[in-house]
Amino acid sequence: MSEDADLLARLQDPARKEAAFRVLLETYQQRLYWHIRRMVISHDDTDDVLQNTFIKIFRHIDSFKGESKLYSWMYRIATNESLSFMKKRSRRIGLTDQELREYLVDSLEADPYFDGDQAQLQLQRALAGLPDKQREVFNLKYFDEMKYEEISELLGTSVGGLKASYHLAVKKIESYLKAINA
Amino acid sequence: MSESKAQGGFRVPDGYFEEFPGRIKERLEGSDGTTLPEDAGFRIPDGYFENLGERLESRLGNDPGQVRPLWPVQLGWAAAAAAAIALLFALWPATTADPLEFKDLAGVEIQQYLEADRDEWDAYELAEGLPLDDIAVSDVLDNLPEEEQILDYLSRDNESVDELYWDDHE
Repeated sequence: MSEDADLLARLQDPARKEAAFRVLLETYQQRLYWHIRRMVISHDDTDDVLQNTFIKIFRHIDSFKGESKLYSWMYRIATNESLSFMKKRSRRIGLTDQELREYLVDSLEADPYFDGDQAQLQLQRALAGLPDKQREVFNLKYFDEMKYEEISELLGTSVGGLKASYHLAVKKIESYLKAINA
Repeated sequence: MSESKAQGGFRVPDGYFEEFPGRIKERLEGSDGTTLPEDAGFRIPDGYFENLGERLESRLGNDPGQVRPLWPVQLGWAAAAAAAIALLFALWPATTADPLEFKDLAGVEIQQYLEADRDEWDAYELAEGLPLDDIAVSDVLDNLPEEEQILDYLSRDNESVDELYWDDHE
């Protein structure tokens, strides 16, 4: 039995659920944190979304059938929570999703939990202008250095589609950086 | 996944990321010479991951509290009697109102219905999310065209598909 399968069995056993959940938390909190952080930008918002994500995981783990990897399932929950969070927030303040993202990136310079230099700030601005899917694929490929096959398993998207998304993302980012640095 | 790169450039509190390299590497050369930073520059508060479990447990352990009945038991019978009387009036034969039809809906309501949650899925997500393998033509069409009609349609240079789905198959 794989580690995930063993952990899942314990998570779905009421007598061992809480202890197993602590293991799950320790194992995956950082990966999910950084995934969410790159989507919602600010630490405080990430904290909210991460907590909501783990609470949903805890409450719905019994319905997880194990048809995908445990992390893939959690990753999708985190992604949906992040997108939902951003959508609600943009509606509340009357901005489009992209305008909100650009606003958040512009706020990074004053963010105590961001210590990137100008290049990193520019990269975040370029990423803010990408469609969600392209940004997600770029983050997984570029920052997490995942292989296309791994991303394909995680997102349930074909390798060909991922390559196209990544290629488009890189081209757009390069064009943006060239334009502002010209 | 290379954890060192995923976390690289993020300032991480002591004891949280054991292998946090504390490094922000120089630029990564892009395919055409454009330089991209290897990390995003985000950092997190000290002690964040140490306390996350405790904060989650406090939220998960919230006792919903004892449920107190809204109405005293004595009022139960009175409420039941009132409900029975109301039901009697409701079911008493009376002039039946015309059933609500589609045309009765205000245009704005239809518009709101059609636009509700429209932006939840973009075209890509629709294409990715629709279980096309599980959908048969009969799920979306009331009247399936017969083979002869399809062949007849294909043999003509007709840009409209409407006539394939006429109710009377004429």
